[in-house]
Amino acid sequence: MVFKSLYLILREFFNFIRGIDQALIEESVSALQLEYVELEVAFLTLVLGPLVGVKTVPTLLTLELLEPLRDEVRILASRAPRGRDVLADLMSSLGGT
Amino acid sequence: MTSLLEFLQPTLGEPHVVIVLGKGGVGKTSTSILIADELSSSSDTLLVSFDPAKHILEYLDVEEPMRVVRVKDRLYVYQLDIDMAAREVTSRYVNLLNDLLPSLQVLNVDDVVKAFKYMPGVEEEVFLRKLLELYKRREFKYVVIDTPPTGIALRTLILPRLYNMWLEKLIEIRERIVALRYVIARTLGRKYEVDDPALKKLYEMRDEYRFLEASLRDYGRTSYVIVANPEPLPIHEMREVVSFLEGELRVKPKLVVLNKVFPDDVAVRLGVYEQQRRYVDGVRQLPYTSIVISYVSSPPSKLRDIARLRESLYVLRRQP
Amino acid sequence: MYVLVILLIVLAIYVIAYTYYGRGILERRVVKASPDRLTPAWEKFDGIDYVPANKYVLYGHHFASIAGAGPIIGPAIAMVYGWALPLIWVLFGNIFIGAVHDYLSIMASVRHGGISIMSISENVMGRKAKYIFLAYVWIALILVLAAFISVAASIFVTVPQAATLSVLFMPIALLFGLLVYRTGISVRMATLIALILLVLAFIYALRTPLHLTYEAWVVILAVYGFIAAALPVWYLLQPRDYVNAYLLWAFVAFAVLGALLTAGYALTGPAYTSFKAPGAVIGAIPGTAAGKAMVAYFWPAVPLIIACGALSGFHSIVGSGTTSKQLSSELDALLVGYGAMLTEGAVSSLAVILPIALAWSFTSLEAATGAPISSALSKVGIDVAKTPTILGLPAAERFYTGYGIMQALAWSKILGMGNFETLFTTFRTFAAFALSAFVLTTLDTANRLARFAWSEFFDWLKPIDETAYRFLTNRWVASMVAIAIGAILAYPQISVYVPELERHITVYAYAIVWPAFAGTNQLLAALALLTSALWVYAVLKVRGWISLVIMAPALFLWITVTAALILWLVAIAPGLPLLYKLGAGTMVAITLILDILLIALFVYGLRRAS
Repeated sequence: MVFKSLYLILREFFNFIRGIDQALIEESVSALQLEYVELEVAFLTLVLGPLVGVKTVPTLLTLELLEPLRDEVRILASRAPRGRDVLADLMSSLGGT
Repeated sequence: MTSLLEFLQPTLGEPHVVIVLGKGGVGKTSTSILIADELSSSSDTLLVSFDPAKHILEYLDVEEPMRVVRVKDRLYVYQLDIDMAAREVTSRYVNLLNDLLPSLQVLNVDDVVKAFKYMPGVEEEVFLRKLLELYKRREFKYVVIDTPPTGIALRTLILPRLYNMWLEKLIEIRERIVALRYVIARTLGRKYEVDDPALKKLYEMRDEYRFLEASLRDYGRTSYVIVANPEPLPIHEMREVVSFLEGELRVKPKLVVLNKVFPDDVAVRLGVYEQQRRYVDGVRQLPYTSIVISYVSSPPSKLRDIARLRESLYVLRRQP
Repeated sequence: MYVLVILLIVLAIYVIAYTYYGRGILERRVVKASPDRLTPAWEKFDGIDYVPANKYVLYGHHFASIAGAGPIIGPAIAMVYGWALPLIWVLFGNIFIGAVHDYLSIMASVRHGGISIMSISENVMGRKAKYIFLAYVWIALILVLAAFISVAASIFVTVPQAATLSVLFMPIALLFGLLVYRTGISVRMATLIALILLVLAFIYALRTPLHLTYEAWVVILAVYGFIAAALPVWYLLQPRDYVNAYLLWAFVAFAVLGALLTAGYALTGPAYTSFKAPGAVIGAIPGTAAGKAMVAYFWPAVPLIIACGALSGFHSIVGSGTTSKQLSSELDALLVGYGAMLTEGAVSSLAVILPIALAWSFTSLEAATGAPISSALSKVGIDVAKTPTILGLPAAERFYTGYGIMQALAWSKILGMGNFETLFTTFRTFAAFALSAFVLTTLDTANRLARFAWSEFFDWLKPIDETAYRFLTNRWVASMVAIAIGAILAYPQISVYVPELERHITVYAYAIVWPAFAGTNQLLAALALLTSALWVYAVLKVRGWISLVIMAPALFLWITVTAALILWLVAIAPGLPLLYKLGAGTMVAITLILDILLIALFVYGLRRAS
């Protein structure tokens, strides 16, 4: 009985350490991740502009790129409603006080 | 009488494309037919009309647009119908659009296509795609193009440069995105897709439109023929086209055709002798090869009439 | 009172709090967290922002984001009351207010689909609340800049070895960036290389101090903050933040080990000195009338002193950022939100309060342990005769001196007392460097965020005067404004002759600005907590004594902080130099006004929900 709970505690502890380790590795690219997403949004906005009335690239260029970008458009769709509410995201990704 | 082929030299590519420009009503179509007819006497020639007026169908007794029809021995004809072409291009994407922009689902296919067709610039883009296709039709030695009204024609010709500009920009951003994606995935030990279909597509398009831009400026692959009448507006437009070709595309027209020139006595009788004289001299002074086609009393309406035009043709200036 | 006793008490209290209060009350009765309810990470999954994460990983991220210099300086200043009061505030403030605040912010955000606390306040309290929040955040960030620039500059002046190491840190971080992002080296290998280089640099730095004046450092740091925030210098920022995380854990690990090894020693510091303290503790100039007047009553002044150790307003924003979007199950929030904040409190207790309490009276400690403390201290310029207790040192210095002494005592048990002095200087430098590293990370983040909040705030100007809007929200202008104000407030250092001590002491700007920073930060927390409380009441419809459990601390905090800020404005601000009257004084006044506005909105929201 005691053994079992000791084992459980130790296992959780190791999971904890592993988790922290993973967090550290992820930490190493968090700012890059931020830049990546912003660039992606910028690119998609440029390409999809004509479809929403913003004359950016020539219209048929947009249409030709639609198919390969199909999956990525949902990134834009998911972020759009949150629009300007990025202060919180910035604060968590850039490391804190 | 020297052959028109001589004026179009050098013809290095296959196919060699002849682009016939000019204000509406000056006889562009008849000139295009004339050139195509003569070229087809020795080689397979495709005459393409982008002109929305579709006179070619009348002239050559062709029934339908959007099909290559053989008219004579080696002369083929294709009339573009912009509505049908635009529909063909855009309907391909309608399903995709409906998936991505659910709000569009409210509209049916026709509405979507219509919405695109009327968007500024789409017509020129459709022409652009057809133009690109034509440069690859190796089964013909010559392709003669009867262009749409000058404004659209010139905008279409400058489009490859605009495309390339955008493609460069998009490629730059996309390359950075792909690089970041790679670094992040590699750092986190995740699997990574080496291919980015969007970037591949962008590279493909860049290759295509660089090819087109280069071909349009290549003296050996493309000949520009400008048609005008000895009247104020056509002459003015001709000068605009020349300045566009020299300025933007950095090419010279290979041939200037002065059409519907009255014989002197007729000109005097109509009181336009002085004006006509002035314009003809003006064209002669341009540093380009030019020919004059006389006015014929009954306008040509069939292919056989075109032969008569050839008889009334003489060389105004020969530019080496 | 032995170190071991404190250690056990702290751990016991936290474990009990986590289990009974955290899980029993907060999770089960208030929020009613359920593993069956899908979190936004699953519902809105997009592989980019919304991705469920392992709870320990998330804990690691969240803790790294919230931990910083705040929990260190505050408690160090508060030691003037003895060690008991600060410890009690840190522990209980944490348990009932701070960690609750963090937890509720995360849960509120999770239940609202992952949007930030500001949007939630907009939903719950109305649109004006958003602007008020933005203004707050901006002001709070400016004060962060001012306080932290000053802290870092003062560290570099008193521990010039830390300055050398900080300077060497930059190229090492850059190298790491190049190794990982450009060449094909794996992160682990590059990390190893970077850490080894860091250790080598540390050894070198110990022998090679870098001497510059305080003012010079302020300017350098301001310029650094400006550049780092304005340019996309990812290859520098990213690795530096990353290596910082290792530094943080090393710091924490040493603190715990140190406490364990010195468990048998008795604290030389008094548990309780007085409930009152001189105004100098909350920012008045020492030696002046205001500075000497015993106006700083522990309550209500404590929020002006201990900020992040007990709770911090910024955490609500961080928690409702990526944390809430990556929470895999509602049950994880307890560990990530409540747990991470408790950990921060533990850090304050074990890494700051405990060492300072241990090393309080240098001569007594020397007598009790036989360690050559006086000689070690004299080597770093502290004359034990003139400064017999640790209170004689400025706050930041109390921290790294205390930390250094405790670590030296701990490790000389194993390595022999002969190494005490070396161990002391090593760990003192390590602590000073760690503190400065945390500060530096905060600097450019704060600048970046201030710039963003500034632009966001002015969106109402856009339809009125486009040119003015464009000028004001230009990123260089926005960045410049923030850092310039911060630097100006951080610039002064004042030398005051204190007749009682018969010598001059240097008062750095942060001593004056800190209360303003702490106050606004705490007020931000109070407001976030009130928002959460309102959410619990209005949206979760929790009534009865459970809702009181949240509402009461929230109101208590709000009353405390408001009273403290008013106390500061009335008793301290008038006696400050003009710069601070204008700078910090107006900011605090503005925040108080905004505070009243928000409280009005809160009451209105409460009425509407009833």
